[in-house]
Amino acid sequence: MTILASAAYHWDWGAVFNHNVEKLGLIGLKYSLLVCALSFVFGSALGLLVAGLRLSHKPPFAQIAYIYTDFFRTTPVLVQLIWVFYVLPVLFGWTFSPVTSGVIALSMNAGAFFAEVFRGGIEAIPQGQWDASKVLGYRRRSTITWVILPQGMRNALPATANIFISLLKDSSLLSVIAVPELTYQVQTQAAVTFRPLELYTALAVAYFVLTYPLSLTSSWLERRFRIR
Amino acid sequence: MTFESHLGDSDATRIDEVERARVFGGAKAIEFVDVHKAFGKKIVLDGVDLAVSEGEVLVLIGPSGSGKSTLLRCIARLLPIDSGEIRIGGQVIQDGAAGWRRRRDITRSSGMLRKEVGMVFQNFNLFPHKTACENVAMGLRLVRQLPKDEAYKNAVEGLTRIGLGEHLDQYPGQLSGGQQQRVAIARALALRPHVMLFDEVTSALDPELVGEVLNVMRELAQSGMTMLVVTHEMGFARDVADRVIMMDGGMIVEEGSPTSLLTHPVHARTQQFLQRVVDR
Repeated sequence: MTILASAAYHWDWGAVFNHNVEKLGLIGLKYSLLVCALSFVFGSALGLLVAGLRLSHKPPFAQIAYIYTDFFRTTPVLVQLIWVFYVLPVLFGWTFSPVTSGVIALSMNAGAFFAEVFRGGIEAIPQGQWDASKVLGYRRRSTITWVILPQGMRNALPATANIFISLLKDSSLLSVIAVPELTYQVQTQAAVTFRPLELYTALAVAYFVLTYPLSLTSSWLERRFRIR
Repeated sequence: MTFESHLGDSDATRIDEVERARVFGGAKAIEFVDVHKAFGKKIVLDGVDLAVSEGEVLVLIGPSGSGKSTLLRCIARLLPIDSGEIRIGGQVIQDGAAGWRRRRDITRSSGMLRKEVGMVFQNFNLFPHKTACENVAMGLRLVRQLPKDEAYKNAVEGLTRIGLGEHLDQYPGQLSGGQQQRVAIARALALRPHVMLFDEVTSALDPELVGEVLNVMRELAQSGMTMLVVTHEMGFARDVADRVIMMDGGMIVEEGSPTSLLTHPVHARTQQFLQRVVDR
């Protein structure tokens, strides 16, 4: 029965390849990339800060950083997103636009992953690098700027490409708070044209085309910056 | 005193007496007074008393875990001591009995002395993301605050003198172990220290690369540098050391001139250790 039904489905790719869908698709793509890029920038800055706090081992800050990373890594992005969009206004009276809410939620989430990636990258640096810097008389700040961070970032680089991929895919969740990104556009079109199979298939292909080069970049980076 | 004085020959390259007097005022280069240090329950320095004169080459030998490396690391202030006192050029750099306030003051007042001590490690600890030249120039810029072109000029000179003029732009990963260790020596010397600490600097090298590093150290010793060398190279100790110290269980077991200590050790533990090293 199922086989018959699927065989009987009449695929109409005209629902995907038409002027309207292409136009809305481009708008959606623009929003997806914008949200993703902003979250990447804010998330990495936040992640660096949090990693720094955790590595500082200073009593209140390190614990706060630890709680933050664990909380955001162990709860679903979708829940975080809804929480920022619906709960913050009620709790604190802060109301954000859907795009801002989306960027906040994704940045906070990515920040937790960035923090772990940066921390790992920095902890992988041998103690000898700190010792050598100290004996040479470098100040702590100089050591971090010129010795530790350049190497830590290099160690972390391949993993950050993976965070970008995750962000691009997670940006589709913003459709639930009506951010007009790629998935949202496809959802509305599917509702109008009654052609969800074609549209969602095309959407999956679109995400694949966007993320696959990134995944190749990630493995290239891994090879390029392998620890000698 | 110029950088040239550290490597090369002839009398002109010896650290001149005026400079020495300016820095250490005739005091001992390094002094240990009843220094104790433990990692948890494991005692690594058990009442060490030691005085090293300016220009002296001191070689430390002993089984692994005997406290030789710890001793060097305490001078370099990579490790705090539990009790006793360490002085460089007569100035206290570590005081085990001090409270945190006094420790802070010591750290501040002896900050300048950090430049006077250079250290070379078993694993080189070069900065892998920097070329040989950058490794040397970085300290000149950050610590001696030379302008960029001058720092690089000095770095090129230092590396060329040490026979690495053709490897200036190579990264540590592209160099042999011996070359890397020579870069590490050049990096430490560039800051013009008055004391150099060598912590088993040839132990991680292939046997055929040991010689090139020892030669550099030999020349450095001839130039009048004060050196503390932890090594298992008994040939080097015999030829270059002014004094050899045998350590075991965190204590100085025996000390003397290389000829007497290495050929006629008095202490049973020294005899045993030397026997094992020779048999190796």
